[in-house]
Amino acid sequence: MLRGVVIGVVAVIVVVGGVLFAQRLEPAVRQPIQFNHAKHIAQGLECAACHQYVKEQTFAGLPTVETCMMCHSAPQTKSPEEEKVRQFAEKGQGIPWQRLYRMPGHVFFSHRRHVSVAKVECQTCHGAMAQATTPPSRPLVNQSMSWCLACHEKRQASVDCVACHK
Amino acid sequence: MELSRRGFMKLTVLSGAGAAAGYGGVALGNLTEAASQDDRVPGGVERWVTTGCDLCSGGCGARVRLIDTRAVLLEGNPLHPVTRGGLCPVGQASLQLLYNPDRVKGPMKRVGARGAGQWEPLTWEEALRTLADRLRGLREQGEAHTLVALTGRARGIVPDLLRRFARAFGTPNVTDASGDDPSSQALWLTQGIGAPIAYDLENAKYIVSFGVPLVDGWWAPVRQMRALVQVRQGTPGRRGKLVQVEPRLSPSAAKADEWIPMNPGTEGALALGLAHVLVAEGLFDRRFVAERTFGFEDWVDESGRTNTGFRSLLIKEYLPSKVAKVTGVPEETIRRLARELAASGPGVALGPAGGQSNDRETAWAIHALNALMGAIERPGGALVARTAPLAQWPEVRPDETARRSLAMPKLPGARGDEPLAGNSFALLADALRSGAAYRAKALLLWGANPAFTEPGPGRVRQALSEIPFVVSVSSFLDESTQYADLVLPGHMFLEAWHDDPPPAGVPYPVVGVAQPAVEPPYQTRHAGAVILSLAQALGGRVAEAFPWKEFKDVLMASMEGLYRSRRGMIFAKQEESGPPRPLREWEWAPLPYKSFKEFWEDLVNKGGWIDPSYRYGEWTRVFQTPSGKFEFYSRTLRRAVEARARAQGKTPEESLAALGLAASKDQAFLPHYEPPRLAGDEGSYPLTLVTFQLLTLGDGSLADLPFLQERLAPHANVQWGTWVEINPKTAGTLGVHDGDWVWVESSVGKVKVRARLYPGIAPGVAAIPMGQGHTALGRYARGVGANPMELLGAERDPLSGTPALATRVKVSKA
Amino acid sequence: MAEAKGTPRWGMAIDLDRCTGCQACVVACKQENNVPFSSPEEAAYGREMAWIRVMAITEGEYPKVKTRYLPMLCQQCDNPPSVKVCPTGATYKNPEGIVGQIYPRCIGCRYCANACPYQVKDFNWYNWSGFRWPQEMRQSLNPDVSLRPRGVIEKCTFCHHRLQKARDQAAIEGRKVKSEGEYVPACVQSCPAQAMFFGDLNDPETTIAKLARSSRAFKMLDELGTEPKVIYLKEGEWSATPRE
Repeated sequence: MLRGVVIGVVAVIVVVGGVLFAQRLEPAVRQPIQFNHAKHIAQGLECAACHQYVKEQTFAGLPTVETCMMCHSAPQTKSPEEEKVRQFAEKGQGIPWQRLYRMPGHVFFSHRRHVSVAKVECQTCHGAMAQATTPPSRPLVNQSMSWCLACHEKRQASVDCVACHK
Repeated sequence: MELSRRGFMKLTVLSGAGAAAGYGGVALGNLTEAASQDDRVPGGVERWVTTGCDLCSGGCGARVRLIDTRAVLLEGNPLHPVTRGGLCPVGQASLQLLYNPDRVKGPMKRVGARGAGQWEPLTWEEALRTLADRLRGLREQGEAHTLVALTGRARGIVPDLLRRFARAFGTPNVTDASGDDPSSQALWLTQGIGAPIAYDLENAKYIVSFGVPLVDGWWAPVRQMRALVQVRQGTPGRRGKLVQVEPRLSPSAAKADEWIPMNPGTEGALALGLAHVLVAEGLFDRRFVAERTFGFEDWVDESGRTNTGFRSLLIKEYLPSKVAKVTGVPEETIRRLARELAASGPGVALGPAGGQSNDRETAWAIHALNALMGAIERPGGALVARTAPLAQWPEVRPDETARRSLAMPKLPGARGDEPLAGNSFALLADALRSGAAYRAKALLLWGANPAFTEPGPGRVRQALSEIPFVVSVSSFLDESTQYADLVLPGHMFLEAWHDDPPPAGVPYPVVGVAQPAVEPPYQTRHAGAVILSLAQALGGRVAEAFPWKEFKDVLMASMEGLYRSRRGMIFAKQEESGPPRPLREWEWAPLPYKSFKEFWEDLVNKGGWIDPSYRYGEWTRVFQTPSGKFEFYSRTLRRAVEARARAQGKTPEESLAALGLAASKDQAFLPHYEPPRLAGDEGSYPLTLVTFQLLTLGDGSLADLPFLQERLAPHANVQWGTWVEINPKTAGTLGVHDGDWVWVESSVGKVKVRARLYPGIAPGVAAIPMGQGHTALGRYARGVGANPMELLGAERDPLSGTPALATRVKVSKA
Repeated sequence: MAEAKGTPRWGMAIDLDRCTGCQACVVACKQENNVPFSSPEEAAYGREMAWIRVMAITEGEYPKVKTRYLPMLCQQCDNPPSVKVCPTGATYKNPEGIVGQIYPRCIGCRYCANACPYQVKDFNWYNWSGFRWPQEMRQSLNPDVSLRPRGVIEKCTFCHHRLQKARDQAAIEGRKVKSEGEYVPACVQSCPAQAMFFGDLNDPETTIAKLARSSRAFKMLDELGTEPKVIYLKEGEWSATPRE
């Protein structure tokens, strides 16, 4: 009888915990605007045009509403998504972009180091983002530590622990 | 992948518990949110802004590291010629002051009883209107003089503005909580100048410090630390020497080459004992004494009377054998020290730090010793600081109301024109209770907290509760602010423009200018701007005295004087190591700026201006005495005493006697030893208590910084508390062990502290650090340790009335 | 100063003659590395944390007493005893000789803290939430360093994040990090008395390499064979020490 209760409790823990954990692993990211990467790239924009800190800072940065308004203060298309930009601008708020990639608190990644020093291409880590016509709700590349290390070893970059963990 | 392994383990355990309790999802959601929030510090764009630290009188240049808009690190400004990139622990910890959770976030008025801590927010407009109405009322009733203003730590233009306001408004009662440095009294007595002595430490080769905490918090700590390095390691093959004479092995004594312990308050006697040896053995600077001093030999005055000279006094009264008995320093040590001083020049004597009833006499004796060594106006000696050529503001033209009030006598304790007048809020507080010529009707506390920092704070609290209207300009609800009717929070230093006047003790002018680095997050205003607004609200001549719109205008107007002087230089990278040195003639070049605007921009970006030149022996500038010489016999004092006597309708002899000085009439005007007055009888209170400041806590306003609470003093190994240092021998007779709780009791109060058995303190002496025992201020300070000021206040300097920071006590196990 | 040749060996020198025991280094380190502060209660339990401390050693009896100050931090041993006892590989020596502490690997067993003869490894008792770090105070946290969770051992890394920043800058300029002056830990940077020096021990021209050869130089508990990369210079005599 007792054994049955124990097994039952464990089962509940495993199922509920597992389901929730799986959700945490793959949280669906919904962006405030259905941004079309492919279309912007096709217009000749570089990634750094909107992700303005990518060469200089550890983070790439998400575009401010001012950046968007440099082109979109007047309508370029009839897209209702484009209209949202002006709505955000009118309200005087930033655009609440959601981050797609997140690192655990003990991992220190530097865009500057990878982009400006090591000259790694954006798609190496971000996949075919340039071809995406709608914002992906999941990361296009599964960035695990072994994935990081594989590339570091291939390029003979540092595999020293403190290089990434502080 | 967002989860850490540890977080995952925590989560699975908690989700199980949550599921079992039936509300898994909700609880889990909140938990994970909190966990991810705690996980990482948000990044941002890094910027460095040149600014300055204004937390003490050191005037260190600083630069602050910003991540977007957050300040994350304060470092020394490497371009600052005096501090050269150094910054003490207080500066390093100061972001905990900027981001302190207990800052006052907007103007407040009292709603409950005084001290009950009930407040209501109000707008700046309402607050300033309330204040202006109240002050206008005083003027309308012809009582402008009943306004008392007390300034705290702030230096430079803001306190100048407040003094200017007092003059335009019509009150003679302005004082500052920090009081006067004893050395400024010595300089006044001997050279006629009421300013702290500047010491050319960097060039000295033999320093005798009479209890001066050279490297733990005195004057400009970073400059002094660097100077000490220069003294010791700056000259190839020759190591300079620091001798510390002090009752306890302080951090400065620990860093000295030799520590000479002595009885508390007898430094003056020792200085005169050393002087005796120099004179008796012919080791003094004969040429300087003959050419540049007055009153060394016996002399005949206008009335034909023969006056005792300093030489006779020394020979007769200060025999090393006699001095040894008073000071507890062996006779051989006194003789050796004097000989070393004479032989190892340039030597200089510093001190005292202050805190005894006989500070003035001690400082006087020490400075006279400098004169005997010829260490006046000489490289490595005692100098008179040159002032910075800041632009003068237009003269204040007080109106009729103000003029009538300004003619009223000052309250005792308000800063006077000469250093003999008291400058102490404790004295003011006493006057309020004993009924001075008139009562204070309003009090402006300008960053001052006398209810904590003054000896005998009980009496100050009483006085505060009796003043009808109290306004406190303060960033924290400290002990004094608890008694305020109106609290006006000022900007914190990284949020506001401020200037750093030359640090005390530096002989040449250095002016720091600090710009705001972060946006003020709260409803605070610049303390200087508050004065400007107040003056505007009062209108008329008061407003006319302040022809500026905002504080930055005042700052720029003052700094334009530097530009117009065409002297000095803006901080720049120095190629050579070591301290700044006087510029040579060929290095002079006009400042390369086409306009003041260009000059100002560079000044702000680099952090300040310096004119590192000193011309030794400008005798008419440095000796402003009746004789035009260095006066062993102080005619300056004699004039002041005679003036005092005339005002009181007494003879000078009566006036002197009324002051209760032990010295006979002849000695009174010569450097002499006056025994320290210690409250309490020796039978009931067998130990002598000395108090000292820690580099980390200062006067206690920094007690709300947790980084500093953990680091009070390495030698004591006490954190978040107060201790009393006693010699193991003394402790043995009391049955006290290391770490025991003990009561330290004086004739006026008692405090409970931890006992630290410390071999570095003389038997029969106890020492307690200041700065703790807050009943208010903030969450990290409140209820931590005890305030030794509660033991003090009973005894004071007879001339100025400044309370002593030492007393007799008894120690018993708690 | 020249660029580093080969793999640098970063080291520190502390001149005890200059050090005044002021603790600016301690506070600078805590500010730079997000080291939590304690409370009166926790300090009484001995849970106060610091990656560098100023120890005071008082010897003798009144009146012949001497107090010496000794800044004590991870000695970045070439032969670190703490590494040998770590069961998870959380503490290890990296190719440049810096002893790293990898927090996600650390299980808080505290073997290393006990093995370290310098007592410079602190156990973290603190959570990063609630009273201790009110939201206002969190604004001054450094984004270059993590917030370690409760239950791990922490230690000095010679401000390794500063090395990486210097190295990035050097790489962009197409050179290597200078062997002195470009990469400076927070404690060395802060020292008001300029008692601390830092640089590449492998470059004989650096101040630190010269100081290591000084007659005043000694290493702490050298007899244990730990081979520290922190060098102390003893107090009380003059010697030709190069400046800046």
